[in-house]
Amino acid sequence: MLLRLVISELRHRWSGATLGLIMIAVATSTVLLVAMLAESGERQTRRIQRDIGLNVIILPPGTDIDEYWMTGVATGSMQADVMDRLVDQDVANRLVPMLKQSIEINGHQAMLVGLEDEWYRRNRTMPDVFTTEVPLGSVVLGSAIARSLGAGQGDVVQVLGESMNVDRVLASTGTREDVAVHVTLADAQQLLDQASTLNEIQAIECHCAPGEADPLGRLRTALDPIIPGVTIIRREAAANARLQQRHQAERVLAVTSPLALLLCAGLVAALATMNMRERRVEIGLLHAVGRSGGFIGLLLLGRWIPIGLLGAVLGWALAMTCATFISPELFPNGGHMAIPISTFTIVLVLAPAGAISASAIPVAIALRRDPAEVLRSI
Amino acid sequence: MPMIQVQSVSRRFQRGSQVVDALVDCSMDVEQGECVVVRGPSGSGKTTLLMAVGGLLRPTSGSVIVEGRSVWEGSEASRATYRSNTVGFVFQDPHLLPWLNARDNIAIAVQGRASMGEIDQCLEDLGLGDRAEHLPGELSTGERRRVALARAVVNKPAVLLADEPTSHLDQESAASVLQILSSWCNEGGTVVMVNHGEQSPPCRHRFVDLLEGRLHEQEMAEGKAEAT
Repeated sequence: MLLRLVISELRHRWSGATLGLIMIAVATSTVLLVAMLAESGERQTRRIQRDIGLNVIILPPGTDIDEYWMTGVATGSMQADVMDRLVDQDVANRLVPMLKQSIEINGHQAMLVGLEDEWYRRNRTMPDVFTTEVPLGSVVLGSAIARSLGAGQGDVVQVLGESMNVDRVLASTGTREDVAVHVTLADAQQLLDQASTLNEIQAIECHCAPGEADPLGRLRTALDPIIPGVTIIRREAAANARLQQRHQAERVLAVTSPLALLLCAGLVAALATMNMRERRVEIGLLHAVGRSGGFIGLLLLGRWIPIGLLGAVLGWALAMTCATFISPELFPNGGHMAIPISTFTIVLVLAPAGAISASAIPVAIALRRDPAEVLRSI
Repeated sequence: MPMIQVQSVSRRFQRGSQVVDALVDCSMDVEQGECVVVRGPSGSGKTTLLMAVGGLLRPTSGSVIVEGRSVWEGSEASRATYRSNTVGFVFQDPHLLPWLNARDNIAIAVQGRASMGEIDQCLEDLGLGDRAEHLPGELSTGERRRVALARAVVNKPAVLLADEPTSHLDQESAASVLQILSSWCNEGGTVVMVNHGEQSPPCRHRFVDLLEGRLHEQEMAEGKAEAT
C-alpha cells in the first residue's frame, strides 16, 4: 500500500521528483568524480613513481651500491622465500620481487627484468598499480631495445636462447627502463638458471618515518632478522613527491566531497520543504482519517528512497560518462578512472539515506502542524 | 448514555494581541441515530465545534465524550485510532488526494476494515461506480463531494461529521448528498452536520443554532423524507 502511494505521488508530482532526481544525480556524480580523480591520480602517481623507481629498494646483503647505481643490477642474491616472511612484517604495503641481469640480445645490451605480481600485506587487497604485467613466456620490451631489435608487438625475439613472444612495447620513459626486457620472475629465474632467487625487492608505501633522522630505522629493524645485512635504499625525492601528492589528493577529497554533499542536502531540504508546503492539506487529511504520524512520515520520506536510488544510478552513469571524456585529458599516458563496486554500493545506500536525512526536518515540522489549522484554513 | 456529549466546551484563538472566542461554554448531547444540524453564520464557530468533536482541534476548556470515552484525554495515537474507528469526516472541501483515483482516495481511510469489494460497492451506492479509476481532477464538484462522503462512511463509523457538505453544489447534487446522509442516519448512524444555509437532510433531525460561539437549541424538525 505504502509503496503504491509513494509511486502514485511521484508520478503525479513528476516535475518536483525529476528536480530531486537531478540534484541527487549531480551530487552523486560530483562525489564519485572527485573520488575517482583522487584515486586515479594516486594510481597514476604510483605508476609514474614506478617508472622512476619505487621509493624503497631492498637489495641483497653485501651489495656494492656504487656498482648497483652504475649497472642497475645488484651483485648478490636472496632466496625467493624471504617474500613469505617479509609480507608478514610491518614493512610496506606493496612489495615487488625482482631478478635483474644485464644481457645481450642480438649484439645489443639490455637489462633482463624478471618481476612478479605485487605482494600485499596479508589480508589486504588493493588494485595493482604496477601495470607492467607480463604473460608467462612473453616479453615486454622497453622502447630503445625494441627499436634496436626492430621488434614490435607479436614478434618473436631470442632471449638467452629462448624464443619469446613480444607482448607489447612500452612508451619511452627516458630511463634505464627503455632498455629493459621484462619477463615474469619465473621466466627470468629459468633463463638465468637461478631458481628461487631474487636480487632486488622494490617496495612502495613503506612504513618509514619521513622527516626523522633515520627514516629507515624501523624498516631495517624489521628486515634484519629476515635478511641479515640487507641493503636498503630510499629514494627521497620520489617518496616525498608521493607523500605530498597523497596529502593533496586527500585535501581535495576532504573539501570537495562534503561541499557537494552539503549542497545536495541543502537543495533536497529546500525541495522537501516545498513538497511539504504543497502537501500540507494531504497531511492534515491523513491525520483526519486516522492515519498515524508514523505512516504519514513514511509516506512523506518514502518518496526519497526511489529518487535517491535512481539518482545514485544516474549519478554513477553521469560520472562514468564524464570520466570517459576527461580521462584522456588528465591521464594521457593511459591511466583510467574507475569506480570500485564497493564505492558504488556505498553511494547506492548513502544517496537515499542522505536524501531522507535532508528532508527529515521539513517532514518533522509538517507532521507537527495542527491538522485542524490546515484543514480549516483552506 | 448519549452517543456524543459536548460539555462546556470553549475554544479560544489568539493571534498576536487579537483574541477570538470561537466557542463559548458549549454543551449539547447527541443520541445514537440522531441527526443534528448545526446552523449559524460564517465565523460562528461551527467548524471549530465539529473539529473539537472529531478529535482534530483541542478545546481550550471543557470535554467531548463520544461512546463514553473522552476524546481529548489520552495520547495522539489514541485520537488517531478514534478518528479512524469512530468518526467519519466530510469537510467543506472534499480534500481528495490529487494523485490517487477515487477508489484509492477511499481506500486510504480504510486501514484494513473494508475490502476493495466493499469500497467498490460504496462507490456504486453513491453513483460513482464508473468513476472509481478517475483522478479527482477528472471528477465534477458533486462527484468529488460524494467520493469524500464515501471515504467518510466506508468504515461504517459510529458518528458522521459533515461540514457544510452541500456548499458549492448545484441543487441536484446537494439533494443527492443530503439523501445519503439521511439514509445513513436512518440506518442508525449518528450525524452532526454543519450548515450555513437552510438545507437539511430529509430525515428527522434537530436544529442547533450557533451564534458567536454559543449554542442555542432549537426544536426538532421533520425531514421531508420522513414526512412523505
